[in-house]
This record gives sequence, C-alpha cells and structure tokens, in this order.
Amino acid sequence: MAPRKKNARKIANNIRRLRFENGEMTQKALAEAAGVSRQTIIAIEASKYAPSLELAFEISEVFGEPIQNVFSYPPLAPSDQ
Amino acid sequence: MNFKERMPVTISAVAVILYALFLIKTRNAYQTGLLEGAQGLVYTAKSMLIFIVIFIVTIVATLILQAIIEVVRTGDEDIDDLEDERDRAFELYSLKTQTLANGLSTLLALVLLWAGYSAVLAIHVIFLGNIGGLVFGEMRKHLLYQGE
Repeated sequence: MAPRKKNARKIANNIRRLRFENGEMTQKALAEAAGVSRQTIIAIEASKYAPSLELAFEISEVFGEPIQNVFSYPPLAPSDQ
Repeated sequence: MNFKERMPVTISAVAVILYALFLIKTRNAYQTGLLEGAQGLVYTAKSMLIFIVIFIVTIVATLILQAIIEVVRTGDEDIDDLEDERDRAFELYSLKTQTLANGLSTLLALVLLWAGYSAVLAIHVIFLGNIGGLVFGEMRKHLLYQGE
C-alpha cells in the first residue's frame, strides 16, 4: 500500500451553518459553551485548526448534533491515493 | 490579531532589540580587554544576568502596556486570554524549536571548547542559542496562530 500524502486533506465543518440555525449563536457564545477561546472557534470554522476529538465532541454536543453532522473528512481524490 | 496572538511578536521584538544592545556592550567589553582570562567569565556572567533581568522586566512591562492599550482600544475589559488546547499545541511546537536551538548551541559550544577556544566564547554561543531559540520558537508560534 502506497503511503498517503501528508496533510492532503483538511477536516471540513458545518459550524457556521449550525450557529445560524441555533438562534444565530455568536462565536463567543460557542467558545464559552465549548470551553475554548473565540480565536480557536474562528480557526476551526476556517479549517485552519483541526480540533482534538474531545473538543469536536464538545462542539457537537453544544449543537445537539452527532459529530458526523458537524465535522467531516473529505474522501481522498484519486490523484492523492 | 488579539492580545494572545500578539505576544510572540512582542517577545521576539524585545529579545532582538535587547540582544542587539547586549552585543554592542559585549563588543565594547571585548575591545577594552574586559573579556580576558578569569575576570572575563565573571564579567560575562554578570552582564548576562543583568540582560535576563532587564529582559523579564521589559517583557512584563510591555505586555501590561499592551493589555491596557487593548482595553482602551476595544473598550472590552474581558481580554480573551483563556488558554486552550490550540495554545498548548502551539506552545509545544514552539518549545520543540527552542529545544533544538538550545541543543545545537550547547553542542557547538562543546566543540569550540574542545578546539581550544575560550570559555567566554562558548558561553556566548550557548546564550545566543537560547535567545535565537526563543525568537525562532515565538515566530513559529506566531505563524501557527496565523494559520500558516
């Protein structure tokens, strides 16, 4: 099996959409509920930072959604395999 | 850039400026023969300790000043300084860079001593490694905060 390309993919998320669907929740409110800084929420939302599994579950819990509805890992493109 | 993300830039800038002044002072000491022999070691230790004290005081004063400016600028007294997993992860990357620089400078100092160079030079190489490691570590943290 050929080794996969490192950092070829980024974890995608629906945080922005879910915030608006949850009464236009602010990034600050989500950060407080998840126990992280607002800057971390901004970085996760922009896919500039991949959260730990624990934090990903925390954020999903805030929205009351299963984790797969909040975060997703795009499948590898054939050229990356 | 918020207060926490500006800290690495502040620390790096202060370190570079103070180290430049320290180098000028060291060059003057070298030219006047203050770094010769056993008294050179005493002089070096004293000037490095003074540097460290000035560095810590300057950093603390600058960060307090920045925090005050932030509060005045934003009008928000609640500065977002909560340390979370992202900060701790970036701190580890920074520490890795610092450790590498410190290790390399120690190795180089030992090689210099083995090659017959003075102990004063070896100490200066270790000190430069510490300052360089701090600056590179903080700059790496800064780039990570910027999402590079």
